[in-house]
Amino acid sequence: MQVGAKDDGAAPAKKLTGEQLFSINCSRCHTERYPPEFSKVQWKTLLFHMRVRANLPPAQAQAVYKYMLENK
Amino acid sequence: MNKTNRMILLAVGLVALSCTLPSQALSDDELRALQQQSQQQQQLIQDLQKDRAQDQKDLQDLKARVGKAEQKAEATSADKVQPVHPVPSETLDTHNFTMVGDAEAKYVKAAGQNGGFALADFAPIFLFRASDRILFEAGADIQLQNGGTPPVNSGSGTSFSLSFATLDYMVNDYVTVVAGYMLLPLGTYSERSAGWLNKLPDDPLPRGILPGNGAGAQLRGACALGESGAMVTYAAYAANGPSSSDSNGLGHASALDLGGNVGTRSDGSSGSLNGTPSYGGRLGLFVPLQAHYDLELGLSGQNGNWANSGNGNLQWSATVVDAALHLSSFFEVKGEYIASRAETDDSGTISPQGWWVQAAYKLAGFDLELPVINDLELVGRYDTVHDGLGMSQKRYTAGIVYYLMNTLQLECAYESCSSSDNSLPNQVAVQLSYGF
Repeated sequence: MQVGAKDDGAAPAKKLTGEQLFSINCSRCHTERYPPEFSKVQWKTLLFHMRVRANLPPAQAQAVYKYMLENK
Repeated sequence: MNKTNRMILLAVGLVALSCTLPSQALSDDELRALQQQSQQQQQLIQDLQKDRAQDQKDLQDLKARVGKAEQKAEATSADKVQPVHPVPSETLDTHNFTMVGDAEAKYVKAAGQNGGFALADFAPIFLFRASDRILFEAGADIQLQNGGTPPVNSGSGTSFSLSFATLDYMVNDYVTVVAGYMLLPLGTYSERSAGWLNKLPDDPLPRGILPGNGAGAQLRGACALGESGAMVTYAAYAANGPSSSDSNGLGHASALDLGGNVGTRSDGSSGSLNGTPSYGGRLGLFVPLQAHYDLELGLSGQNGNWANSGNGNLQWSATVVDAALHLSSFFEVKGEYIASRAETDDSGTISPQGWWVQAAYKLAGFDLELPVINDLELVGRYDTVHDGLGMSQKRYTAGIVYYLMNTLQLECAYESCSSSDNSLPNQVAVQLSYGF
């Protein structure tokens, strides 16, 4: 996937997937936490905490949360 | 005759009828007897059908009466108990308590001192999510210290300090209110580099000239820029701010207290020690080029009174520029430049300042497919600080991190230090750090 593709009449850059947003945001400050480490309810709490701490936009936080659940 | 007996009689009659096999022509008497039996059984069938219809009707009436009784019972119960909110019918996924955090154990050997083991830190973080909008979070640092009981250096003691405790309320997608004892968004180190997140055993030197936390309230959030993952982040806060540790509140340079002034005084009275809040905030820009290739820049600061002197209020302020760059999932470099300014009544205006830069490279980037090598990361840092009163320190740190697991790491670092007052010896530190 290309991020920030040139505006040359081609299709605009695709929306980042939850996996890509997970890679971009969640490994900036710490090593990756694996989805099976916590339950669904715990991930919801942790993503709330990380959304506040890391200042994540709501759509990105939701996409990462969905990715974690799909990979539990 | 009850229904059961009628059923039995009918069954016997049918069997008798079916067994009657005339071996010869029936007489008139026998024929009349058979006709009489048949009529009796037809009557029995009609009676049974009537009984069944009556039973069905009775059953319907009973169901209706039971339904009315249940409704009456629910209404009676509702009259007595008035819930504040409707009782949900499905299982909630709110009201969740989760504990995370980190712990560090280390061994340090400084030049001219005995080496020693230490439980460097146990830092639990408690999270309670009350709803999709409300989170309470608190973090503490629990450490061991020598000299818990007199005489000096005898026994041990445990220190407990609250590093943050806030109530977070998401007003909408772009604003979250954070109130309580906050990690201050001055740079990013306080919020993002605690404990196991720090790849070296020590904090950067210039962080000592900034308050890491403070009592106050904050608005923070982020706004995405397009769909590429880029975003603008923002935080604005009011806090009690620094104060003077002098008993009379005077503004001597040595009395500058960055970490106190949390609202409750030693005599039990409330209020800030310097009378007016400090204000601060951070504006950040995050630009990912692709996954693991990104740049973040931030500008933050705080300004306010810290002491009262005979000449009026004395100001304290700080400005921080922070930056972080990732080039692949193997290499990162980040740092902060910190400049502060404090008016004093004995040393004029002093300007403590410093900066630090840290780079790290994971050897898995060499793609050697060797298990131990792939779990190693080389880390280097340079940090320096000047206290504004003539004392300066600088340090070069070379370290290596071995990842036993994704959140369990063994950090080894050698620090080459120099300071104007010889207060910072060279040292070797080995730390086992675990994030849970």
